[in-house]
Amino acid sequence: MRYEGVRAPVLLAAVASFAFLLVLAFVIAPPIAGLSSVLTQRIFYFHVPAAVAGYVAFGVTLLGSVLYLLRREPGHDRIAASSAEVGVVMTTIGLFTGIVWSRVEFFSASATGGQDFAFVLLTDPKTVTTAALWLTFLAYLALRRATAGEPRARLSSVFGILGFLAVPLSYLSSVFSAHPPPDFVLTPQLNPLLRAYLGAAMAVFLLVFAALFLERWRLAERLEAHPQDAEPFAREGSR
Amino acid sequence: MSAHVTTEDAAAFVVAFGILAAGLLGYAWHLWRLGRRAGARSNQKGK
Repeated sequence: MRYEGVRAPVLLAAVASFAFLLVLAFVIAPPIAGLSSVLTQRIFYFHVPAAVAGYVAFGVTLLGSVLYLLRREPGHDRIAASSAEVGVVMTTIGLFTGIVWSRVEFFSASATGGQDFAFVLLTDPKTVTTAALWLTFLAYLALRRATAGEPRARLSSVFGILGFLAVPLSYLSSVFSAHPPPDFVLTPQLNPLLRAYLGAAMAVFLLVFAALFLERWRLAERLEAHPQDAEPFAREGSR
Repeated sequence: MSAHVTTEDAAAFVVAFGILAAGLLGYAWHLWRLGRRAGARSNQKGK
């Protein structure tokens, strides 16, 4: 792997900065004004950065997929697959922590207004498009398990490029949703201190993404001789 | 803002941070298992 030298420092930095993020979220950061939950609101510093890290991961998958189709180098396919796997983990965290948080923050027993929470979720554009993005890349990983060799790389590259279309859909859908708009972090109304903390949290999550991606990429390269081992979620009994 | 922690808030906190921990630690465990398998393959090839 070309970036073997940076793997260990990035991993160490990711672990250390994540420990710092826990302190920031639970000790340093003051409660966010206007939110009703006392404890669950702290997920803000993890929910938003995880979702953004997922978008970035699928962007790397798009890049790797395009490069593979242009140059047909298996290394680019491995980059795309490794990033997609980490992206699914990040999107899982972003999507489900968001659902749990919104349940307590906006749809608590006193604030449902007679609406069923499941109905609200299923009709919320942000939740639906992000769930579609999540399912798309789960399907990408399933496709990789169901195919092999050059056809797998070619098919999943096409799938990865088309699947990326769900990223701008998910990102921009909050315009039509009760979810804060995509540019809310940049709005002058947002407390500058909060913006700084969120920026730091995003940097930490991008570092965590980089560490997990580099580790997964290295393993994909090492397992190249045994491609069945390199596949996401490979089962012990499947060989 | 009320500083009162409700049962619903506490339960959501546990679930939300449980999802975060399960996601990150679960994936780290998955990578560790893959790494072990890769190491075993390398050792077999070296024999």
